[in-house]
Amino acid sequence: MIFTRHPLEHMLLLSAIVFCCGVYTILTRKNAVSILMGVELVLNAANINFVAFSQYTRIGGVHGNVFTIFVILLAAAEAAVALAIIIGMYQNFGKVDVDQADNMKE
Amino acid sequence: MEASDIVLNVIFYVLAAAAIAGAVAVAVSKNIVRSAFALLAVLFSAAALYAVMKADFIAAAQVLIYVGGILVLIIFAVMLTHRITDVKLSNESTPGPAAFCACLCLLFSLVVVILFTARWQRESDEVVVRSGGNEVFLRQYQGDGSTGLAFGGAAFEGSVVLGVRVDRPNGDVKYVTFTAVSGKEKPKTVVIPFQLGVTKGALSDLAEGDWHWSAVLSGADGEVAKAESPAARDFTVNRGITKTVARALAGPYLLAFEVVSVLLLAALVGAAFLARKEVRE
Repeated sequence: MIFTRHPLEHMLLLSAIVFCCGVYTILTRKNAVSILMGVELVLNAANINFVAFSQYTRIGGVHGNVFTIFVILLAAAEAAVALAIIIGMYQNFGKVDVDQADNMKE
Repeated sequence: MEASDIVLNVIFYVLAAAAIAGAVAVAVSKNIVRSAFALLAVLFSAAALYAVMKADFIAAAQVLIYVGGILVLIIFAVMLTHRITDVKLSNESTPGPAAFCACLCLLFSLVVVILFTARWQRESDEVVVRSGGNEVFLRQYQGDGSTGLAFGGAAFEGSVVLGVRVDRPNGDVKYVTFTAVSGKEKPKTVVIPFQLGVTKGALSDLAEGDWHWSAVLSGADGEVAKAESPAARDFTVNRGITKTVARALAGPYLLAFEVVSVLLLAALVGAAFLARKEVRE
């Protein structure tokens, strides 16, 4: 049997690129909402990997999908808490710039 | 390559390109609203990619939770941001060469690992079962008019009994028993036909992996070995994974599922606590 579908490597490369974009977003942005977007990109890259490996393994076959569901649920919790923190930041500093939230330095 | 494979490949690469373009736009866009909508493109492409990868339930969950929940939350936060049209205030970034180089190095190392270091190999279609001194291979066989399991070995000592359980696409289970009695003869291959109850014309429509077998081999000395068809994954996937995912969530992952639901509740309460209006005395 010749495997004719897109190979596993292409999915892994896609997720690697998305992951690096997410890391770049986290590193360079100052706006807290943008950083949250970068985190979402990283989580999605991980999800793509999970589903890809789940499709390409014989044993089980579904465990990667279950982990993807957990990641999505945790991302929902993370987004809710992160946005609450952002609102708290806005109440305290009047801005959502992460460079300004350096009260702990002093 | 069949036509459906070509179509699937084209869809896959188009979606992959859309996802990459969206991710790059999220990373470099000067306007935060554009970033948010590029994230929408990434999430939707990821959902479609899951559908292409036959993870239909994950695709639905992605659209419902990510796009419908998280992204709407983010877009709300963006829209409520003070003076969003002012680029300098809305989406300021510090694109230094250090961050760019770090990401490039990360990408480079990931690509090296994916393409050159790691060995991703698909498991062979042939399954070898060892029992006592016997070594028997099992292979799925699809010829003209008959579908079956090819079964053979280099040498059988005494008699070998092979029991095969076949799961048909319609959910039926069939058992086939095969006995090989031979001395140390020449290698031989026997095809066990599975009467799948389909006509000759419809047989070619059966995709590889539409059916699933598991075999038990017992040698003369009473030793027992088991094997399973490599296409077990395709078998579950072709029927849709929703049922299998539900079984996994309610079975081995039940504790994790409950823990996640408690965590969601805690996150909800915590978020409400954090976002409450500060009461000044």
